[in-house]
Amino acid sequence: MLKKLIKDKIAVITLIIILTTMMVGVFAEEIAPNDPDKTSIISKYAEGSQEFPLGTDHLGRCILSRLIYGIRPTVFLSLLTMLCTIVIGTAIGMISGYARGLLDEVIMRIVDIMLSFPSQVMILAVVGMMGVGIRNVIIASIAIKWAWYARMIRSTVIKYNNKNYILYAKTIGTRKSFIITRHMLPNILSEIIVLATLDTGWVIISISTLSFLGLGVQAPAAEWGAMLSEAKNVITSHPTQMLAPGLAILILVSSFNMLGDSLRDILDPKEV
Amino acid sequence: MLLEVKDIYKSYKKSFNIIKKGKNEILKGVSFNLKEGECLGIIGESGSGKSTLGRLIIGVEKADSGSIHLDGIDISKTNSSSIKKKSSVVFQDYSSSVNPRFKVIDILSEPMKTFEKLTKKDRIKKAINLLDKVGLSEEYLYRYPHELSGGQLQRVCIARAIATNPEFIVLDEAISSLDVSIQVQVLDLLINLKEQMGISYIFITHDLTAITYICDRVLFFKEGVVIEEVNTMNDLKNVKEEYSRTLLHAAMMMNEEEEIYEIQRIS
Repeated sequence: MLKKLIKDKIAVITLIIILTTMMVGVFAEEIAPNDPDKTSIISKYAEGSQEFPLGTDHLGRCILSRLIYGIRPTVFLSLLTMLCTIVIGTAIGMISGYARGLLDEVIMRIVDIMLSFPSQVMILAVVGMMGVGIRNVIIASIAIKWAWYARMIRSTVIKYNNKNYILYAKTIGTRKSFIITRHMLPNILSEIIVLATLDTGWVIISISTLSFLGLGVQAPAAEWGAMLSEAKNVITSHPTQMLAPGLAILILVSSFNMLGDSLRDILDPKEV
Repeated sequence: MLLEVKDIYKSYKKSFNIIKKGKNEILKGVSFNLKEGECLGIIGESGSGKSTLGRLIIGVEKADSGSIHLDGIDISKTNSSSIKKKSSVVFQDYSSSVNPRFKVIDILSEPMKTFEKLTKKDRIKKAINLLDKVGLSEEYLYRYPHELSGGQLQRVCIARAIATNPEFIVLDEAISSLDVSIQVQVLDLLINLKEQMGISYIFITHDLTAITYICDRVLFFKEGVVIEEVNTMNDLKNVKEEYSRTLLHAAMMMNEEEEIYEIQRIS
């Protein structure tokens, strides 16, 4: 598996981009050249210089520092969202797939209801009800997304439960732990990983979008979507302001998407 | 008597419906016996419940009523591994019979891990021995299923089935998805194994030619009931039931047509 990963150039490059971004986010204090919240009216809209490598924004704050500190809400909150979604979705999907019958029907109808709403509208509705703030955005995202995973895990569990090799394992009375860990999980996991990687990109965009609209991360905290929102006010006079956060989102999201695609190929056992 | 099946009923719910409860009756009172070292053929058209019967015998599903006794022990009432050890199965669809993430060695190790504690070296030795029995060489040990042909993979499945030294194997359409020349090879292999290891087979199929090739007794199966039992293969021509005769006739017609076609093609 690792060998195949190293052979796949796109996977390696995107993985490096994602891991570096995360490391930079973790060590933001050490790496960032300036305090991201320190304003200085004199040096607003400054060009790139030794002191401010990417220039400053409308309040004279260092854009590079804000970009680096912005990794934390953007990337880590997205990963947290994905983690919660997967855990909830997998648990419910597994229960539904194993239990079948009435419980399965009830869960699946709830899932149907969740899936019938357009996700962005649903998030706006939840945030509208519960109030503005990143915590509510995350809760809303999880509330929307778990249904996708529950449905997918359920169908995967049912699919593999009827596979002949599981039937054989049951015939000779193989231990349940062996069936679950060696037969079920590797197959389910590879499908989850692919979907989760692709969805992380979606969550990053979702969080950034809501921060852009002023519903997510609140000023003055640094967040890429919020930075874009601030930059759009001066889009005609200082268009370069949008470049840094915009490119950052673009690169990170496409990295996640491309990694997801590569992982799908790598985790498929038939791919040689 | 190795296996005694008595008056088995099995039905499936049609679908989940609160108002109307529909049931699909698959098996309606099936009884038969299997002796040691015998090959019992079960023949019937698609959807007649043959495969369901197979699943009940290997114990992955439970019958609604009736009993299945293996060596005098009711298999629905016990969960001991000594009972599990006695039965094994080979399926029609060889591609889903093995975990695509397992190498041949892992596939063959699974039953060994379940029943006996062997060191890794012994497991490899036994796996090579098993491959040898089904006519595959040692080099296949570290291949993945998708790197094998259908016939080779079905041989691996048979190797896995005999790894536990079972007393009987359910062959659920085990050769139906192989092409004819390979079918004969696999049937010969099965006959050899039967003589060497004294295993009984329950050979579920819709292919009459294969039955005549390997089986000692035949049950004709239709719509969930055994409609006729033929105890010696020489009596096969004298079947009484309408359905059995139709089946037999259809199979003979096909063979004749094939021969005619063959002759035309040659000349």
